[in-house]
Amino acid sequence: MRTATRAGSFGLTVALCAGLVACAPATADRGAPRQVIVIEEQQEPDSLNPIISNMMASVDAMSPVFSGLVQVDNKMHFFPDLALQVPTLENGLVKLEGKGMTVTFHLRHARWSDGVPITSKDVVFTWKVEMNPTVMASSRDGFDRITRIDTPDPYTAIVHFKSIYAPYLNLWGTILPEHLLAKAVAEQDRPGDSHFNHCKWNRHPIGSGPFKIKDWVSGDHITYVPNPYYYGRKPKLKELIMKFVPDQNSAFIQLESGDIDIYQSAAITQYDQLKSMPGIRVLTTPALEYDHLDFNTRDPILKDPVVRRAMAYAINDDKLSKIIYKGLYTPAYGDQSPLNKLYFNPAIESMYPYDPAKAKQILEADGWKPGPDGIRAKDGKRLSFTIVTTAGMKPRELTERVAQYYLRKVGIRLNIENVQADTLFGRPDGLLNTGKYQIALFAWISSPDPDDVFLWNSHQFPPNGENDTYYSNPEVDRLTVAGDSTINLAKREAIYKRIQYDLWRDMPMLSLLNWTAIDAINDRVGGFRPNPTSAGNLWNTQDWYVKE
Amino acid sequence: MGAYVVRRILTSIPLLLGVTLILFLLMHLMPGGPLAAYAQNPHIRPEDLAKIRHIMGLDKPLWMQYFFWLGAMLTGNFGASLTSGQPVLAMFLSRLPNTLMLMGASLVVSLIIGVLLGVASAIKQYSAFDFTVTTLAFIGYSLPVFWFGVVLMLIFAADLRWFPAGGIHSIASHGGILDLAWHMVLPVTMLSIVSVAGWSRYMRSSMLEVIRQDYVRMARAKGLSEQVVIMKHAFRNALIPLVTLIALSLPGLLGGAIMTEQIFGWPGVGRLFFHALAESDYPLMMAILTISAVAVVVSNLLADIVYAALDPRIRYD
Amino acid sequence: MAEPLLKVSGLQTHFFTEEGVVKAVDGVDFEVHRGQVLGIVGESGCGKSVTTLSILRLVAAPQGRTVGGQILFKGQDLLKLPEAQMRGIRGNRIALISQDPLTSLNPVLTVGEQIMEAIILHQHVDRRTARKKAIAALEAVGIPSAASRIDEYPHQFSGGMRQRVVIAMALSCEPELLIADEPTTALDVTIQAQILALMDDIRRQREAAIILITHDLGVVAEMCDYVAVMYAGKVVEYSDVATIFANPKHPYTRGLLKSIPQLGEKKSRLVPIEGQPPSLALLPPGCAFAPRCTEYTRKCSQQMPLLEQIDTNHMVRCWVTAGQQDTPAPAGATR
Repeated sequence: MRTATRAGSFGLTVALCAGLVACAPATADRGAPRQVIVIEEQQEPDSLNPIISNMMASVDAMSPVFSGLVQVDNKMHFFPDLALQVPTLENGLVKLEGKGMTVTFHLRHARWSDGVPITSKDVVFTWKVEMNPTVMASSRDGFDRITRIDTPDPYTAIVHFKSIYAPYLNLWGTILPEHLLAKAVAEQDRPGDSHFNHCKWNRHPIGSGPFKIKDWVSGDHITYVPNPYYYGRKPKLKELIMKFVPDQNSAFIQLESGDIDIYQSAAITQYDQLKSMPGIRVLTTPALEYDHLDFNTRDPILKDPVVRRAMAYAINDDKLSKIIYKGLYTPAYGDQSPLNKLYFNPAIESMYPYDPAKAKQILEADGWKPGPDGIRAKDGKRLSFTIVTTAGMKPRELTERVAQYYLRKVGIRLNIENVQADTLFGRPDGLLNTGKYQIALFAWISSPDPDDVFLWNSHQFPPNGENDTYYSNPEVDRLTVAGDSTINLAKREAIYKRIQYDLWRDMPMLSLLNWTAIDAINDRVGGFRPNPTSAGNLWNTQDWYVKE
Repeated sequence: MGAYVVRRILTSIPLLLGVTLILFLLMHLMPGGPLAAYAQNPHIRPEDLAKIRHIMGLDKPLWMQYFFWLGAMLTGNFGASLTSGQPVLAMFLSRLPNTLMLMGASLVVSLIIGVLLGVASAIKQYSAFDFTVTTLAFIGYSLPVFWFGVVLMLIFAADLRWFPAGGIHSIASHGGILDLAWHMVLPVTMLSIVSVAGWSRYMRSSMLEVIRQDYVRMARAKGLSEQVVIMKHAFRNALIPLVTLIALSLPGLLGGAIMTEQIFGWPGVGRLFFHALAESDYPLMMAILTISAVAVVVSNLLADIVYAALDPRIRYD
Repeated sequence: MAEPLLKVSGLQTHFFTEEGVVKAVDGVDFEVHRGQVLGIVGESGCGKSVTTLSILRLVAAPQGRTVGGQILFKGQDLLKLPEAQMRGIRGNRIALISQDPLTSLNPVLTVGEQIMEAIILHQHVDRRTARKKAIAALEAVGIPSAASRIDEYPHQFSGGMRQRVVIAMALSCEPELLIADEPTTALDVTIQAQILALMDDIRRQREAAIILITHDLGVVAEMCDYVAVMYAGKVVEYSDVATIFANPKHPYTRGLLKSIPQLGEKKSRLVPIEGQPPSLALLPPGCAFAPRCTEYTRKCSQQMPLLEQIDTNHMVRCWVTAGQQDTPAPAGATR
């Protein structure tokens, strides 16, 4: 039947399009290396306004167009971009002033892609836009700690924070052009009008990055050409094209046929085939995301840390990775990524080896005895929990099944009841936000600069914060606040390593696996260096080139 | 006839109101409600959410919200997308031509092929040709589209390199009509296979029905050639029941094909709708659904009018 | 007597179905002369309609095929004509008036179009001439204001008027032979009489021959010159109308005649023939009527009698009443 269908469709297609093959443009074989690279993007950006959109596709699409004061490279180090130096305590550009601090940026003499100079006024403007109540900013974190920005001259911006804010470098990834957007911000906000939230600039932004947008064919691709006013290394590419390919099978084929040069975030199931594809390199890059189980510590049974620790001993992370992720994902420990060399605490790695015997032993000692069906119980309470994750996400559903298997072996039952993303994450009435769950499986992204108050401080229970495990430990409360109010790196390192240890000991959250990104690229592509941070893979497009 | 059309339009109004009411209530019953797109974003704080709720009038009583919404839509204001901030009508309209092209081409192609195959297999009923067409039609009808799309892509894009594996234009050539047609071949084929199967079945049974009629025998008894008998006497009568089906398939021209557009990266309304669903972008979703509902009602009306034009026995007075 | 216009002999039309061979027509012989009306009578399913379709070669292929016999039209065997020539005869020299006027007109074409297409085809005239002729044809069959009604659709006509249209269509090319398949069955009594009168006029004025298929013996008595009685695909009796009514020979014919009420009789009561006609796919050996026959003998169920001439213009297919000689059965068959 398979053959018959192939033959049938073949005949029909031939009949349908007799002449079309002949007039096919010669894209598939491009002959001599032209300095053009086509990168695949699974989704289409909703907006190219860096304040409004936080979709990964938007971040990728904006990267070539915008530049910031400082940027993060693929090793998670900050480097100066529009600023001449990265401000730190050591170089004197960060100063502590009472409870607050000031950060001074010296700007280089650069221009927007329309030729207008970039000045410190644009830095002030960017902050004001972030804080403008009519603007649908995707995040105001950090900006709301700024009291004012002084501009003694067009190339100096002095930012005043009302309190110590350690991740102060995270705020300056993009700067907006005041001369083009001031009017839009001042408009009254009505749906579909010229207000900043909706204006045309959001689709055809003028920035200061290495490229500018030549055209955006909705639903198909964006074409970038070099920005003649770019201040950094001149891009080597004549054109950069971002092609939207919603289907991963299609992306796979387009990579093979040469229609695209870079296929980002390939499916795990395609890994082996991509490896064997001639002329293609597969890059695996450890990512900052990690899957984890959140335990609701207000639950009458789960409030017992012994039960939570037993689960940490019982689940075999290596096997989990082999079964579901071809062994590409790595076991995760605590809430910091091992990529974060400065803050990750390697001491916790050995705390919970895979050891089902140990799991049983601590449960026995805690009074949990196996019942007739093998499920442990104490005082009429049984170790039977409901786990929830986003329905329809295959790898996560498989993870639940594997966890179910391992936990059953030590006498704990997991019942799987998955729900839609909105039901799980929605606010104010989602399951996490209302504490109506026992165990939840989802992913966090760890930030290069930890800010743990939001997640682990006991004043941050939902709906005020994101501490949805309802974890409460006075020491951690104190440490999170302390960590947030110092920018002394040594002190911060000690604080966050301590928090990691406390969390891993108390086990409100069991980290399972660190993600690994799979990017497949054509051998002709040079300079592509995947960036695991929120800067995304297009952070260094000025360095991309086609190999001769 | 004129009076009939007016009456039909008037009776469609309560129908459409009912549809909008159901859509409106569904939006409010969805997990997360109308602002689900924002509610998932941890950076948007509860106070911001409350503010947005107020700006959008979502803190008003439900019935009031419905009338605001209805009133806005009647004046062509479908609101702005929660994800892109653009007016949803503009987003819809920007995708509409692509979808019309894709769906229109596949409707025309599948209709022509399907009708011809159906007629041919009806006049050669029980022949080897008829059995082949019947078998292929059943296979075509039961093909899972996503699988078939990938197979098409593997053969014609990956192996043979005859056609592109997706998109609407080549990166190299901008907007040539031949380039567009070249990109349309695979998605149109994919869409057509399934509908050719359907059309040919309908046409075959309709034709068989008609061929047995006395007036067809009478046409032969007049000495008319087989060709005239089939084309002039049988074919037109056999088309009549098909007209309803064709008219009812017209709303699909607007709605696009989610699966095909997704697989072939075709920038059409179907993919926009899929995006709206995935991102809980309710204004966008509602606009597409409402426009589709209107299209269905209009197509029904159209079906009746065309039906009357084709079949002189039917007169709406 | 002059050469008959149509002479059918030994006609066999079978349907090859999955259940077996259905011998719908299996031995039909008759003649039709100019200006005469031949009636073919018999119960439903006896092969009357298939016989007429066989003459026009319109039996639906591939299941139905005429497998034997001759159909001589003006001395020429229609069964041997190429299809193109046959098309020149259909609707032109031989025309059909079919059973149901409600279904035999194409609902989506105007009546004018349906009449004109045959005229244009056979008489090679332009549309204007064809239109005039079509109007004339409609007037000839008594349709008032034909010139305006010609552009109307069939559903705008009453049943009787529609049958007139069908007749006008059949007559439009002045055929020599008209085959009318139960032309009045679907009409009410007064309309029936009008239509029959119309057909009688046609025969008289145009010297056309008519084959009139009916199961109404009253119509036969009124219209026909000759009658062929059919049973189970075969002609069982053939004679002039007077002989059939005065001196029917075949028990089936007699049964038919008894089953119609006689005018003038006070006690008019129907005497139905007992039993059902046989399935044409599973015909028993011998006479097909034998199981229902009142004069059944053993021989009847063993061998099929031949259509025997028992008088001038009178032929019967019966062992008993035709007084046929007993053909010696092969040894063993009579055991």
